[in-house]
Amino acid sequence: MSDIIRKQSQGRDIVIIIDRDLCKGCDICVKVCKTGALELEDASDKWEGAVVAIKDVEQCNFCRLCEIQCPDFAIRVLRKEEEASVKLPVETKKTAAE
Amino acid sequence: MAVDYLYYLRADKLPHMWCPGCGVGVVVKSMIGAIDQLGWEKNDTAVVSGIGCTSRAPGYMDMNTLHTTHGRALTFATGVKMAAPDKHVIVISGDGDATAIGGNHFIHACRRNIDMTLIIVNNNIYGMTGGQFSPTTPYGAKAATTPHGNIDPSFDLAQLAIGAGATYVARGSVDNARMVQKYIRDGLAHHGFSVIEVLSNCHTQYGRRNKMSDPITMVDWIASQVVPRNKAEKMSPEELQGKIITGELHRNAERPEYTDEYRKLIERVQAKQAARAGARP
Ligand SMILES: Cc1ncc(C[n+]2csc(CCOP(=O)(O)OP(=O)(O)O)c2C)c(N)n1
Ligand code: SF4
Ligand code: SF4
Ligand code: SF4
Ligand SMILES: [Mg+2]
Repeated sequence: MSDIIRKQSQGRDIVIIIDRDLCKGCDICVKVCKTGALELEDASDKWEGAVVAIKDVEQCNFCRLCEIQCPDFAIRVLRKEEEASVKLPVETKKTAAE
Repeated sequence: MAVDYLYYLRADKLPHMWCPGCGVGVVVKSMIGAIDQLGWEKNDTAVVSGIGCTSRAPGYMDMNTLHTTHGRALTFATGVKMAAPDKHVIVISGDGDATAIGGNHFIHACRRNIDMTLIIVNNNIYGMTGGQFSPTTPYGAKAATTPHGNIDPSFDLAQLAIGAGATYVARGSVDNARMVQKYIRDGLAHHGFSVIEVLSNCHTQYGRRNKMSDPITMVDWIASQVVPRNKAEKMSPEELQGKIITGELHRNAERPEYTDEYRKLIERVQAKQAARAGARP
């Protein structure tokens, strides 16, 4: 149902998670990212026609600016141990339906 | 530890209604971050709003929420706080909501120094209703109702709040959400009436009439005008021309808080009545 992209760094403790159903392709995260870890991609299946994609998780320096400046709660940058304490919309919707 | 934003949101209502890149989402996220930092319980917290794009925020928040009438959020919020003074009350308002139709409520809430926090998302326009000019539309700017440029001088919201008696006043901007979160947290923690003005982008209604129709251009425009207070203190009046100072602008811990005063009044009157009843033969 949900459209989540998750990428984990090979050597470092960094996970980037994108909820493609929440992303509106505004480009803010791509512009604030100083390392070029993110890019915008065409998404004709989405209302806004574009969503953010993870270009290269290995470039990420864990500054979390993308997450902090995203107006749509659509991107998360986490440590692996933090993942368990953070809900994604898919889980929240499941709880609501139960 | 990372903030669990969705714990504080009605996630089944997402995605929210705001345009791609709208600053309101950034402010809401900063507000959640601040509540999380303070460890406030959702059940002990109320978020109140009036009408406008900004005022749609409580609808997405999984807390005690009130979406009231245009300009009147502070009056409803005052009622909540007076009825439950031990609870936390936050008001989120647009520039129009807080200082046009709601301007009178705004100054009087400041004057009373009631322990609440008002967050004003100042996007210089009536976003929701099609881009009419507001009391904070800059001089010369175009709006739906100022097609030839605005001739009204604009309000300085933070100075207005300070002049009217608010006891914590700060100004941030959406290009720096970390600082916005810090000011909101400090405002929430402050015992008294706190006002946090956040300069924000409505590229859809303001930007597109003023050559900034995308969020990136408009947020960059905001970022180009702001100067942090510590830096501004070292600048000359000429250098500060056209700049907007951000930071914690005012703090006063001396003035009495309104619900404290009200409690004391009740105690005083009750003691007097009890004494009178005791003196009766
Ligand atoms: C009594 C009343 N008058 C007018 C309106 C129409 N109205 C709705 S929102 C709004 C202004 C919104 O501007 P602002 O408060 O700056 O919020 P924004 O949409 O920019 O976040 C107006 C005039 C109304 N809903 N109720
Ligand atoms: S800032 Fe958020 S909504 Fe905008 S493109 Fe990035 S993830 Fe998507
Ligand atoms: S955390 Fe920083 S470096 Fe990593 S993707 Fe986000 S903005 Fe780029
Ligand atoms: S109209 Fe303006 S304030 Fe309203 S959601 Fe769009 S960008 Fe935001
Ligand atoms: Mg507005």
